[in-house]
Amino acid sequence: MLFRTMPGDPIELYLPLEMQSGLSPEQLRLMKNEIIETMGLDRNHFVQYFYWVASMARGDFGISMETRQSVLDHVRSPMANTITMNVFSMFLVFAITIPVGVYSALRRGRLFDNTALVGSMIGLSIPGFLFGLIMIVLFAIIFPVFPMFGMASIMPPDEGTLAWYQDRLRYMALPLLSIVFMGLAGMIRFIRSAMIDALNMDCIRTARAKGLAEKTVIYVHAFRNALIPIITVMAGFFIGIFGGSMAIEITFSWQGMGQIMLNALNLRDISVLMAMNVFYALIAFTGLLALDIVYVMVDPRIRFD
Amino acid sequence: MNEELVQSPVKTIIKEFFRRKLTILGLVGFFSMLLASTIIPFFFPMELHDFDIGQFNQPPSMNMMRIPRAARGNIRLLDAGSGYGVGVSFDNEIHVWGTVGSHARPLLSPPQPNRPISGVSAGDYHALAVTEDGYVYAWGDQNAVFQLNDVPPGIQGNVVTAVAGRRFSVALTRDGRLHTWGNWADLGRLSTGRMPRDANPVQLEANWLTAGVRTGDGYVYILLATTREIRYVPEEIQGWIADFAMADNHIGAVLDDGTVVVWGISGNPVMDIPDGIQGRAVSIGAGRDHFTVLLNDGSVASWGSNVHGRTNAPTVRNAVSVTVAGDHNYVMLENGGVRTWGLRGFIFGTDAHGRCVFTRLWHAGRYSLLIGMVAVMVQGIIGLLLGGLSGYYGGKVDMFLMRFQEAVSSIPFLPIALILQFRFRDNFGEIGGMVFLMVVMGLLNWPGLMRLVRIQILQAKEAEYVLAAKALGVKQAKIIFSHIMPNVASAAIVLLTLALATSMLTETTLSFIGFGVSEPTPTWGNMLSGSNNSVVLRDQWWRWAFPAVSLVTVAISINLIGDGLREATDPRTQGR
Repeated sequence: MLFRTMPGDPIELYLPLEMQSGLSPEQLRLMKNEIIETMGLDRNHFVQYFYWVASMARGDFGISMETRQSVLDHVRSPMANTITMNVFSMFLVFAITIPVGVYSALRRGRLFDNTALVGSMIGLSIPGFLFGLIMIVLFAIIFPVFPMFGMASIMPPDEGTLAWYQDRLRYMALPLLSIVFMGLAGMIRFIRSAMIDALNMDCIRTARAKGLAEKTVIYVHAFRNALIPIITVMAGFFIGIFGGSMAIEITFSWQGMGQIMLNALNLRDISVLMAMNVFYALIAFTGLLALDIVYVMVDPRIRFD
Repeated sequence: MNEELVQSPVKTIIKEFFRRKLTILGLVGFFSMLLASTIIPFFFPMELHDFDIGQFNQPPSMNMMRIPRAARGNIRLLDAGSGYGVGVSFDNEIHVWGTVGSHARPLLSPPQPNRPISGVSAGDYHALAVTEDGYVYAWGDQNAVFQLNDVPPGIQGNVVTAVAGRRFSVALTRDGRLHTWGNWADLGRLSTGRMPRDANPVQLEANWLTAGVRTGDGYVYILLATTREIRYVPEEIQGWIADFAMADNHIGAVLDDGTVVVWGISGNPVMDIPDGIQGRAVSIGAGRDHFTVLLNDGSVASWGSNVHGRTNAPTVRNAVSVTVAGDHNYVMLENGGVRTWGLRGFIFGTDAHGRCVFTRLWHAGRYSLLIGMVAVMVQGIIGLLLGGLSGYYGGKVDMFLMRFQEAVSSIPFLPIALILQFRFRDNFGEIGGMVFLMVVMGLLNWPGLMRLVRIQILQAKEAEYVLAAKALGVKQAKIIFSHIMPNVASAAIVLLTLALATSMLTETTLSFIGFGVSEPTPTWGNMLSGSNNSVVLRDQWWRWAFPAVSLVTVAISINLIGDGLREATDPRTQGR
C-alpha cells in the first residue's frame, strides 16, 4: 500500500510512450480504462491489497513493469544468484569464525587473541562495499587476478562444463570475499565472548575438577553451552546477510536481488517490490523457524509442546 | 596482597578506561577527526552549488603556478590554462608547469619549435604556440573526437595569432581571416555573424566557452557566447576599445582613455568595478569569474568572485603585463620576475565536478558525524523508553513489546531503508531528507538497545541491594535513579557508542547506493558513490581514498572507545 502512494502513474508506466504516441486520445482513454479494469486500479487500496494477497497465495505475483515477464520469472535467476552466494558465504563465515573464535577465547590475552580482536575491530569499521572497492583495487587493478565487475565473461563457456563453473567462480570470488569479510568480524567477537562466558560457567569447573580431558571439557561441555547464543546470532546473521549483500552486489554489478531491487525502485516496479518484500519476509520467517528448531536440537531444556 | 583503595565506581571506570593504550588512541583519533570536521569547515566554507568545471578530476597538487626553476626570471611570453601554465623563455624554449588531469597529460610535454615563438595560448585541454613566421604548434588532449591538434594545413605559415578555448582553437591569418578547428559541437556555435567582412581583426580572446575578436579600429565582435547578455557589445564603446577579456558570463574592456567597462549577466560581483581604477587601466585579463587589470602606474587590481583567492592581488609597482586564466593570475614585472595569485592547487584534488575534495571531506565529516549521532540518539531514546517500560512493568506490556521488538529486528535493514528513503525522501527537501534518514536509521535499529535495557532492569530488580533498598523503605523514584539507572546507563552507553560507528557505516552504505543523503550535500558515503567505476578506482585515487580513510579512521576510533568503555564498565572483564 505504501507503494501505491509512490509518485508515478502505474498506467503511464505500463503503456510505453512510443505506444501512446501512435494512438488517438480516444483510443488511449479506452486502453487506459481497460488496464485500470484488468489491474483493478479503480478499487480501494484495501481491496487491492486483498486481491494481491489472494493471487500471491496462488503463486501469482503479477507482472514486472520492466520486462513484462511475470514477476517470478523476472526474479528467479537473480534470486538464485543471491541465495547461492549467501549460502556459500554463510558456510565460509562459520567455517572460519567458529575455530578462530573458540581458539581466541581459549588463548585470551595472548598474541593470537589480540590479533583476532584488533583484526575484527578493523573489520567492524569498514563497510562491506568499501572493502569490496579495496578488493577491486587490490585484486583487479594492482594484481589483475579477478575480474572487476559483472557476473560472467562476455562469451561464457558452455553451461555445465568445468570451464563454465570456473568462469562463474572467478566472477564470484571478490563479491564472495567481501560478504564473508563483512560477516567475519562481528561473528568472531561474538563467538569469542560466548565461549568465554561458557568457560566461566560452574559446570566447566566441575568438569575440570572431575579430571576430564581438556579437549572434552572445551568441545563437549563449554562449546555446547556457547552454541545457544551463537545460534541466536546465526539466525540474525542469516536474515541480515541478505540485506547486507545488497550493497556488495551493487558494488560489483552482481546480478542479484540487490540490483533487482534497485532497478525496481528506480522504475517504480511495484509488483516486483512487493514480491521482494515477500521474499525478505520469507527469509526472516525461515531464519526464525530454523532457529527454534535448532534450539530444540541443541538445548534439551527447551521444549515446544 | 596490596591493599586496594576504596573508590567510587565512577572513578574506577574512568581509571580503567584510561589505562588502555588503544582506547587513548581511539579517543585521540575520534576527537581529532571531530575537531577537524567542526573547525575546518569554518575556514574553508563550501558553496553547495559551486561547480568549477574547469578544474574537474584534478589530482592533488600545489604546483599549479609554480614556474620551473629553469624558467624563473627568464620568461618572455606566458599564458595559463586551467591548472597549468605555459611560458616561453628568452632562449625560445617552451616550459609547461602545473597540474593536468590524466586526459590531458600530453600537455606537459610541449613541442620545441626551432623557429622564434611570437605567442602562446593555453586552453583547457590543449595549448598553442605561434611562431614569428606564421606556424602554429598545437599539443594537448589527444582524444580524436575533439581534433584539437589537427591544425588546418592551409594556414601554416600565415598565422598572426591564435587562441585556444576549451575544445576549440581560433587562428587569425595575415589576410585578416579567422580559422577554427577543434570539437565540432563548439565549432558549430562559433559565428562571425556581426563582424563586417572588411574588418581588420588584431586581437583574439577566448575563455572556455566564449570567444571574441577585437579589430584595429577598436571594435569588439563576439564569436561564441554563453549568454545573450554578453553577445551585444555596448554601442557607445565600440570604436574605443583598446583591450578586452572574456570571463564565463561577462566581458571586460579597457577603452582608449583608460576606462574599464564590464557587461554580462547582472548582479554578479564581477560587475562591481573597484573605485579608483577608472581612467588608469592599461590592459585587462579575465578568469572564470573575475577580472584583473594592469594600471598605468605599474600596479594591478582584481575584482570578482574570490573563490580560491582569485582576486587577492598583490601590491606591485613595476608590473609590465598581466595574464589571467581560470583561477590563476600571473603578473610579469620589469625585472623579469613573475608574481602569482589565485589557485595554487587542490591539496586533496578535485572530484568530477571540480569541487575541492579537501573542503568537501571535512564538510562531509560534519554531516556524517551529525547523522550518526542523531540516529544514535533516536535509537537511544526509543530503546531506553521501550526497554524501561518492558523491564519495569513486565507482564503483558513486556510480552507485547518483546514481540514488537522481534518483528522490528527481523526486518532486513537495507531493503526497508531503501524503500522508505525512496518513498519519502523527496517530501522533505534537503535538510528534511537528512532528518528523515536519521529517523529511519533510529527507528529500525533500536531493538538491540531495548533488549539490553530490559535485561539490565530485570537483573537490577532482582538484585539484593535493590531488595534491601526496598526493605529500607527507600522511595521508588530513588531506587530507580540511584540503583537501577547507573547499571542501565553504563551498559547503554557502551552499546550506543558502538552503535554510533554502525550508524555512520550504515549512512555511508545508503549514500553510496544513492539512497542516503543526496548530492550536493556531501557525506563520506556519497563522496564514495561515484567510485565504483574502473577509471576512478585506477586513475583517480584521491576521489575515494580520502573519504574512505577518514571514514575508517573514525569508525575504528569509535569502536576502540566503545571497547574501552565496555572493558571499563563491565566488572566481569576487569583485571583480566
